[in-house]
Amino acid sequence: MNQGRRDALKKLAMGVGGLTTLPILGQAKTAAAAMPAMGMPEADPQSPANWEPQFFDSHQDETLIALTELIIPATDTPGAKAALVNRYLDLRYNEETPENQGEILQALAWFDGRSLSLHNKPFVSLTETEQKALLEPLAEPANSKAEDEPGVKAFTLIKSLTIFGYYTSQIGLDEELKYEGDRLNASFPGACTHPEHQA
Amino acid sequence: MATVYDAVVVGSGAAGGMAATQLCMKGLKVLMLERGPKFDISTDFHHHRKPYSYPFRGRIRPSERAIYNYAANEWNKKHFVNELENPYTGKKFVWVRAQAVGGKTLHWGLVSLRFSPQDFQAASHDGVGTDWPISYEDVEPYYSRVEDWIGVCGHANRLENNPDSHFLPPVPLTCAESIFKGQIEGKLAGRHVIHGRSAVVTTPRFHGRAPCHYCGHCGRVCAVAASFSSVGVLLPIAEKTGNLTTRTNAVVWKVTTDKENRAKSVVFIDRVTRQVEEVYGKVIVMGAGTLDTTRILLNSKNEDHPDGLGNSSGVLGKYFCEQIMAGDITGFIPRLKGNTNRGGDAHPDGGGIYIPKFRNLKEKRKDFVRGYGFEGGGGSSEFPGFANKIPGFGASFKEEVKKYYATVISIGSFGEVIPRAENHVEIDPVVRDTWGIPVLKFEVEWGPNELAMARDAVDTQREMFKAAGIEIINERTDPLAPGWSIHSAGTARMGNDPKTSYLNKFNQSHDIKNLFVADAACFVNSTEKNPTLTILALSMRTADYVAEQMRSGALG
Repeated sequence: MNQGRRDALKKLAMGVGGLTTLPILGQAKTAAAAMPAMGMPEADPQSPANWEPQFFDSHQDETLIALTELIIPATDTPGAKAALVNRYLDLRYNEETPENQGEILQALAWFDGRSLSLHNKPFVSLTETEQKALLEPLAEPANSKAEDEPGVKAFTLIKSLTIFGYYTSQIGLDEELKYEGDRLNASFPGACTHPEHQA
Repeated sequence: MATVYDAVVVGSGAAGGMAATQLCMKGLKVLMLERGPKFDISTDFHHHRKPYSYPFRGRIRPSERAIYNYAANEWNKKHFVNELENPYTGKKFVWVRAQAVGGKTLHWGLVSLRFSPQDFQAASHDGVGTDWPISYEDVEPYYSRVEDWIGVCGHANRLENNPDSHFLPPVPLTCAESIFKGQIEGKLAGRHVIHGRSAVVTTPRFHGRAPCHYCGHCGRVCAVAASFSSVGVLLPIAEKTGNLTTRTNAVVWKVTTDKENRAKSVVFIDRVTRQVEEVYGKVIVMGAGTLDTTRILLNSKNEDHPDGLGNSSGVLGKYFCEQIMAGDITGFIPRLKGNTNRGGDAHPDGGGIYIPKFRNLKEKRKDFVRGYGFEGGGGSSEFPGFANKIPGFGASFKEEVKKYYATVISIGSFGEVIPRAENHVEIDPVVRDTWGIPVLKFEVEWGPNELAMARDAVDTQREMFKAAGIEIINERTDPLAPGWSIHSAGTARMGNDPKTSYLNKFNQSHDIKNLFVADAACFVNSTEKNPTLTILALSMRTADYVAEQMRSGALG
């Protein structure tokens, strides 16, 4: 959603914000007039300037930032780092089950372990080229090497979490995907208008 | 002297809300009991909020996962029961329960399908189970009245086993759905892909209601009641009559009877204060939802009704039925790669596509009776879950996600679960809920017919996707747990024989003439079709009968 449309919606929402109840029956309402003061994002809970990780330590946090940005990098739109996927994951894992907490810590540790054995330094200290080279075999669907199995599992977990964190963020949903739901539409925006698609 | 209402209605959702409203409109003084609070749907839910408005992106936070059922999310969670306060026991079962005026109609999936003539007489067709004591012709006028009242959109397809409703205009199909429809209907004889039939207003004006605004998230509770909910559509009418009294936070414990074998009162516990209260009605109408209705009736056993209220037949709690969610399948339509549409799921829930039952219509299979339908949808949807199936990482991965965003199509099956006496619920002898009320114990599991049907549904979902040239990316081939469909039915079935049924054909207890059950507990079989439209129709029919009987003095 572009800024102009967001502002327009915000004004619209504020315009009827004083209503405590909406008459649903008795008079026809256009959808726009019926828009209550809702649907506007609250302040992004993950964005205060003095943020510090609560669950991960700062090295784990940096590893997470590096991995998530490698998976979904900045292109013509911002990537996972700008979308603060690491902060979402810190918030979430801070109250995950001990089992899930252990799983992600093991996953992060695996990348350092592989990095140490290959380059004698932790993952975040590698060049981007080295980092990508480390990930590539893990992302290969046909990889069935026993020594890579825990790495494939670790990569698959971080990738899945990155996908969720990124595409549910404002950057991922609005800027990258340009999703058109969650808002007032005068007609169904998904309607097929292509005669060649219709039987 | 305590007030004696004309009717006490237990529950406020599709069944309770409809019965209460219809009785109020007929001039009866009604007390409606609801265990939850009353929310203002226009301000208490925030269905347009983006996932990122919530710290946990709209999902239930980890520390609350044990409290909520699978259907809950940050938008709608406040209208569900707390699972920890409301335990149940027995075999694995998923029981989604609401706790709010409007009940499960606050989040329901809106799919609105009339049962067919064959559905009501299924036993005569295949020899399994029992026919309903009523026919399609008995229910048809009520389907029509309900549809003209609540609004159901769809396309008239003139299919024998899926009778058309009085439709509002259908939601248009997406590119993915249009292509899928053309492929399936062109390549597989007897398969139809029809517009979703959904209880939502798709015309600019309909009884003063706001039309759908295509945000795509009815299940997060529609703030303007463009989609049907009891609290948004029915109860405001009931309130206008001046005949409705609503008692919220009333956790019903039991129904009592008097010396003349009449239902006398409903006893409940205030959810907040925990004080016991008793309310009186000339008629008691149960509409708490299949399983809660049956639990209350079982918990109401007394000296005269030792096996549960009105249970001389012994069928109360038995013949549970529902729908098995056998499998689902998701894939890409290759020719749509790069399609730029970004609103594919911004249709009302229950829009999209539906594939009606195609098994055992005329022919009789050897491996199973009855059949299944598929709900589905195609095009871009808010969260691109398919991205996990796109290999690789980095800029090319990100680009592929975008290119595939609008190409996704998925369908999932709902199959009829045959009612069997052994599939039943009973009262757990030990476990109580937070209020001290005995809880349900589930003795429900899939039988051979369900499992054979489920295998066939998995085969045919794959067959259809292959025929349509879809690149399959994800497939579920194991049934979800019993209860998952939230289409529980039976356990107080209707019938002509008081020895084998709990209710007569007017939803009236065979044993206690002023006791009625208006919800899907009355169903004789579940069919493969979503139950709510039929619940609304039968509840309206029940209320009409109650009002007529009271007027004639037949109920004393």
